[in-house]
Amino acid sequence: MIRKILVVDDSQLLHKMYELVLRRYVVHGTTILHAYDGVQALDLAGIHTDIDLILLDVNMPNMNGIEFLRLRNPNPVLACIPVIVISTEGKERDATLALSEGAADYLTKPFDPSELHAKIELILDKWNGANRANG
Amino acid sequence: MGDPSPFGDLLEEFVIESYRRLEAVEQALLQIGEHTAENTPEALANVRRELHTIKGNAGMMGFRDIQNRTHWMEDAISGNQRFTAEQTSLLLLGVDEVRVLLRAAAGDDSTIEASSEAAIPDTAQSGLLVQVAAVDAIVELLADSMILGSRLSRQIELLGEPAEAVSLAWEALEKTLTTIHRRALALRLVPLNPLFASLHRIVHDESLSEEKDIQFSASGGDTLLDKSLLDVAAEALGHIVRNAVIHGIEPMKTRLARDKFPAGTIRVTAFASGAEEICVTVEDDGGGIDHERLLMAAKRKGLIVDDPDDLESLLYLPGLSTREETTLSSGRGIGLSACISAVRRLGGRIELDNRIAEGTTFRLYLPMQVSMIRLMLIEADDARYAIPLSAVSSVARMTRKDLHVINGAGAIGRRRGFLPLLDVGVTFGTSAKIREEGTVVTLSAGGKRRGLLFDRPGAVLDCVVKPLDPICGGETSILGTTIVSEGVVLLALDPIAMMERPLAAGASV
Repeated sequence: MIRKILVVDDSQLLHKMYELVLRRYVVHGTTILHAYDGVQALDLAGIHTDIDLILLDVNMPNMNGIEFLRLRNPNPVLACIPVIVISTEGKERDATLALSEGAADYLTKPFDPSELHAKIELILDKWNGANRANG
Repeated sequence: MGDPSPFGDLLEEFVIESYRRLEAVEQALLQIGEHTAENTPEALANVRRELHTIKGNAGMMGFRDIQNRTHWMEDAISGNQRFTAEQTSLLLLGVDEVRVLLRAAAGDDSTIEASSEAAIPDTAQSGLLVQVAAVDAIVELLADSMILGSRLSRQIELLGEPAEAVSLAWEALEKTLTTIHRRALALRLVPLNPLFASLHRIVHDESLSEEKDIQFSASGGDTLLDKSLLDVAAEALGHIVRNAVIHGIEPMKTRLARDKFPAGTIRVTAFASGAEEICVTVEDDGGGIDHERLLMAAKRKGLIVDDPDDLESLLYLPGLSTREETTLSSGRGIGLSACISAVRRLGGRIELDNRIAEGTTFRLYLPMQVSMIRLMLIEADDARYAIPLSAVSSVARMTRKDLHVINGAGAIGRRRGFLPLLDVGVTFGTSAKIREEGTVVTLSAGGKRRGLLFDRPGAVLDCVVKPLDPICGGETSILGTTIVSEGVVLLALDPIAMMERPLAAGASV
């Protein structure tokens, strides 16, 4: 079950959109954390050690999504939080790059709310399975 | 796709955020075009990123046209490290096009961002979107309740000592009302930054078509101004800045002959010049205003000049331009003279400091906030008055045969009985007896109705009403004074007091 999701995007609009989608599909009581660039995301991930999922925009000021992925990789706690990277139509190269940096999956804007939901389900199933196998 | 976007509720959010991003794009493009950007490659990367975000968001909202336009702009920038003036202008046109598309997407409803920290740039994360009309409605209701309040306090005063407890309670309530009113007005305060960006744009576009090299700088963009004054300020400053580019800054040859720096400078500065007032200055280092040439132009056009020595009144003369040919921009919007009267009507003023061969400084003073009332102008015995439109429920012509005189007071017949009439001329002593023909507006308040009789109605205007100075005595029929145009001060009538005035001609209180 998801308890905490970190949303990383410099656009306030996207934060509201994610909130709408998550509130519709995900169990109530889920906490959504908001970061507006990679730097804030690293800070928040450092404070909240129980984040279940990160939704990460690529195109951001200060520290973009790819840079964030590179910086989190050496950190064992951060590295095992699944990340869904959100890229934009025409920038599919970003998605490939993100996957090679350890992102679990990607989604391209514009996407449908149900697509995001499906991706989240898929990731968490996989992740829970892996956890069971490890435990 | 026939389905509306699942994020339709976020439309306003999308439009506001995209506008803000477009402004950043425009500013950066202008700086890159003028080579004043601190770091061009970085500025370009920012422009690309902002456009990319608008594109992505537009895609999420289902606005294909905005997506395509921003995609095109993003493409045009990719790979370029320097831009020619033409390329910059083309991209700026792109910015304009996206703005138009956004306005269409928004259905043209204006909104303001309400926030206690409106001046801090990253309010995107703590702000709240409010319809301007919603704030205006609250401000209007509060203004109304304060008018009702002053009536209540008059009544309490009449009761004298027995009502002391009521009086104290009322005073406390009145204080609270005043505070709420002030707070509500503060909700409409917005920073001047976007206005400055549009001035920068005017300087860029005009200097390009004038083939002049001009540096633009602005400071004090975080100064706050009432949203309802922003349009007037934008019009007036737009004219002044445009004139500075076209008439103020000399051609390079002249500048060099005057030992000046070849590129001209236009500097815009804003600051709070008082507790309730802001000042925006526009300073250019051009040739100053040529009084003689202005006078000649006025004569050639056959304009009537009251005082040839008064440069300011000459400058704001309607229909005056020293330009021989009309350019694309000169016909835009309302004229400078109309802007100046609008500024004055709103309680502002404009000052001019003209230094021949050195430059010109305009200082525009505006009240930081205003409370405007929609007034209907009326005329009786060649005197003009104004009455709040909110109190008027109908307007009708009255002819001699409609008038009935009952106990010395006038009335006209209506379906539900007689409507008693109050003659404005009789009330203010300009006529001895009730007129037999004219216009009647029906006022209604507290379940009572009364007709206000005068000669003819005039325009309906949004005006700032200033209360009468107590030195004028307790003239309770007057709400206050208002300036409707150049030098014309009118009395705004208090509709509630009009309901209480004795009706019969010649009767005294």
